[in-house]
Amino acid sequence: MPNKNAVWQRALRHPSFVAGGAMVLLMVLCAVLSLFWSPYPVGDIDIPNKLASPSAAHWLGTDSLGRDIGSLLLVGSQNSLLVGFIAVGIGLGLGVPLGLLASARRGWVEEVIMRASDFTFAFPALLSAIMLTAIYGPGLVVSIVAIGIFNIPVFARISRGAANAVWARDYTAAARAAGKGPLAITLAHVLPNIASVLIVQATIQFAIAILAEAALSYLGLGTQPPQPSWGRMLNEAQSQMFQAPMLAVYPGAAIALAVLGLNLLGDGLRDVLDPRLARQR
Amino acid sequence: MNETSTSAPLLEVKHLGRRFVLPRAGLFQPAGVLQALSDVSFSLQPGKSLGIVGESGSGKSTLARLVMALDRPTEGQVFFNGTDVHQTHGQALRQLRSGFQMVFQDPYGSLDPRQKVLAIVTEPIQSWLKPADGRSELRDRAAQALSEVGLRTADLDKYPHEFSGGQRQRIAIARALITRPALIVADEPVSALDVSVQAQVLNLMMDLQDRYDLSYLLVSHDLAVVNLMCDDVLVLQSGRVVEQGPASQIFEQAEHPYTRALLAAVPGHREDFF
Amino acid sequence: MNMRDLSSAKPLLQVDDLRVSLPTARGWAPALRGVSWRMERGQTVGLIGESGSGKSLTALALMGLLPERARVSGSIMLQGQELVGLPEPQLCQLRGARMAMVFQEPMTALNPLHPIWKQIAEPLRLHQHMSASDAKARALQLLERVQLPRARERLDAYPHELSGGQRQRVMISIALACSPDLLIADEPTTALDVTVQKEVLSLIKQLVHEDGMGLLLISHDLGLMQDQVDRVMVMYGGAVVESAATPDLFAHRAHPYTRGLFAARPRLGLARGTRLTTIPGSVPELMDFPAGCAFADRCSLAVDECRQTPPQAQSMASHGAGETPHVVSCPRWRLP
Repeated sequence: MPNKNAVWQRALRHPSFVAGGAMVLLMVLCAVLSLFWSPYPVGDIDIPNKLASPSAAHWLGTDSLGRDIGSLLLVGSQNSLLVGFIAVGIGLGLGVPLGLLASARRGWVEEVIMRASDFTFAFPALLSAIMLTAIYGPGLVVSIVAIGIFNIPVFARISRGAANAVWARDYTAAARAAGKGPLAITLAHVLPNIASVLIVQATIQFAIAILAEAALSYLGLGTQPPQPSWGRMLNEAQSQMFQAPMLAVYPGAAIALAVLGLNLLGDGLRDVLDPRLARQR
Repeated sequence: MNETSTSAPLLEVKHLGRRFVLPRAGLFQPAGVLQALSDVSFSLQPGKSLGIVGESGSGKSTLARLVMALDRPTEGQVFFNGTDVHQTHGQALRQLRSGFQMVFQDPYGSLDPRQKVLAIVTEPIQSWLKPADGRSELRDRAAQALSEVGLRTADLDKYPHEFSGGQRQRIAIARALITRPALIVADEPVSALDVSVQAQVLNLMMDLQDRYDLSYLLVSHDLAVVNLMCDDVLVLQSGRVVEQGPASQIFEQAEHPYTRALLAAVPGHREDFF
Repeated sequence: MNMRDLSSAKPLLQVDDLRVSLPTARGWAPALRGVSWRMERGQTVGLIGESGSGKSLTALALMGLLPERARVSGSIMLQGQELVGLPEPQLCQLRGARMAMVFQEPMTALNPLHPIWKQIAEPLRLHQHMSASDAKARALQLLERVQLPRARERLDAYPHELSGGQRQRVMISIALACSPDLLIADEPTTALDVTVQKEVLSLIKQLVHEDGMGLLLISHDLGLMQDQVDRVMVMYGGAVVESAATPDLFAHRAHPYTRGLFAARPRLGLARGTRLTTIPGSVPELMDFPAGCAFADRCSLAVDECRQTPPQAQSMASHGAGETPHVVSCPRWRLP
């Protein structure tokens, strides 16, 4: 990217980018930290201490089985991040090449790819994910794959649209006049110029993936016990609604903050990476 | 054009036509057809320059793209040094392309904003320099091309947005020159530039023309620019040739009413203030 | 016209030492450095310059359309009313009603989603509080006045259904809808074909003459100025470097930049291969202009003093057709 320093300086001055970035960074740090340590092991059941209020021993209290909520949140972040990364990775890895192919080849190739993605869009993502888990059994892997599949048409569509705009510019014509073939042009010219669009979309899809995983886990179709999951924590909190209403707030807040942070980061990135704004400075 | 020349023409265009099928206006209406170019023929001798003049919709940009093999004609042929450009493919076409290169109109759109000048300028030779020749050879040739257009070696490591419009157009010209072509197709090369910058770039193009015995196929709506750079002129209207011949003849004794209208419409074409 | 009787009254437009600064990454850059001129109704003034000369910025400053971050000082008096510092609601009342602008790109200046008549009706309904049907009728009159062929059928058309020249005619009729006193045309024909340019320009000239409006025509095209305006101001680096009556300027060019500009133009009479006389160097960034004369770094006549002291405007006593003085901002001006 041209002039990385200038881009960084702009980024660090942009409120959405900084706020969102901080929140996402916090989440990542939590996940990494929880790989090595958490205040309490998440498997530790402590029935006598169940539904405890926040105290010095348990900062956020305990759930219906006496597990430390703080630890559950911390370790639960691992799943959210994992789902986000892999699902978006599937979308990028399969969707972007399809979109680039559609844009480069035009004609019937483009039609087939676009109609296939329309077809996939037509199915409500969450219901289809439920259907897949019903066929293949619930679990983290299946839910990741299900969510990932629905990222493919999103990225295909976006990269095709952005690539079309790049193909219309004179510098791709100049590359053809220089003797470059469509694959070489796609890699050398199209991909770098749509990268910023893809990055922004990736942060948005990441947030959506986290929400989707939480929804699936809430329904019991995602992460299975004993692995903690924010979504499942919400489900468990439901039955304790009247004894310990705060049990639902913690995982809900965690999900909300993760999604908010990613969306802010995405907004900030979009502004920072916009080449038109770059020229104004 | 110049039938008394005995050498083979550098570029020969025979009955070139291009038809576009338009999207249907309604489900039951036939698709419309736009004849962007029809029956255009001319030949260009080595070292000579031809100006293609016309307004918007005349087909002049389509003609440039067809000559550059960036688009396929629906009728007719384009011969470069005797080879049919549209029947050549793959490696042979790449070889052929080193003989003709293009300069585009928009200095802001014809350079990839994410590439450094070195990569931009050496793009035409990247495909056929063997890896053993290495980056230093590429860099040397790029530096040489830049110096020919009046830019410095240090500019190789900069990005397009660090340059002005006139400088970007120079970079585009350096890119076109790097394969030592015999023909440069220039599509409105100076229209987007200020008057004083235009003059610098035009002088540069004329210097290069003399130094390397270049042929230009210059597409322009500006008759004064064509007059300066071209030996012959071809006037297009709605895809058809209305008049063609030596520049001096056309500008002084235009016969076709459309050519006359173009000449009369040039603002301030009266030269009495010089 | 008997508008001349009013010349003892307030002039149509009086600009005094207009300065505009824009914030850049490197600090405040002077984009306009003290532009002054005065014009009456019925006068046509041309502003000529290249990119970075400040000509478009001048137009935006007059209309109050500068970016929010810009800093403006000086005075702009439209018929005695001060525009600099005028609050936005009052500026809105003036725009379209007393001063109007025709832009360069008719396709982007027209709303693609509204039919033509609605866009013409907009200033009418806003400033003259016309009903929709009255406004539509007036729109038809205006379209006929700008000689749009088949005006009645075209009332309900959308911008994309018209050609470039036709769209520009629509823009002109929008500008004229409320009979403004001042018309600013910023490169009105640059995006049009040569043959259409001629028609549109003569249309503007005719309408301006009929209505006795003041016209400020902004362009980079010298030839255009010769036919269209009574007086020309040449701008470089945010300042007016030379101004004179049109025939006078074209006959005697005093400022080194003006001479360079004229000499750099390709023209039909030249022999093939003639090298054009160029102005050395290029237009610097806004922050990099010399402290004195903006042109000093590129001028063959420049001395040290030129770089340090901004030049004073001098009147060339021996020239000046009638009432219009020939003013040059160069202490070392000379005629060829």
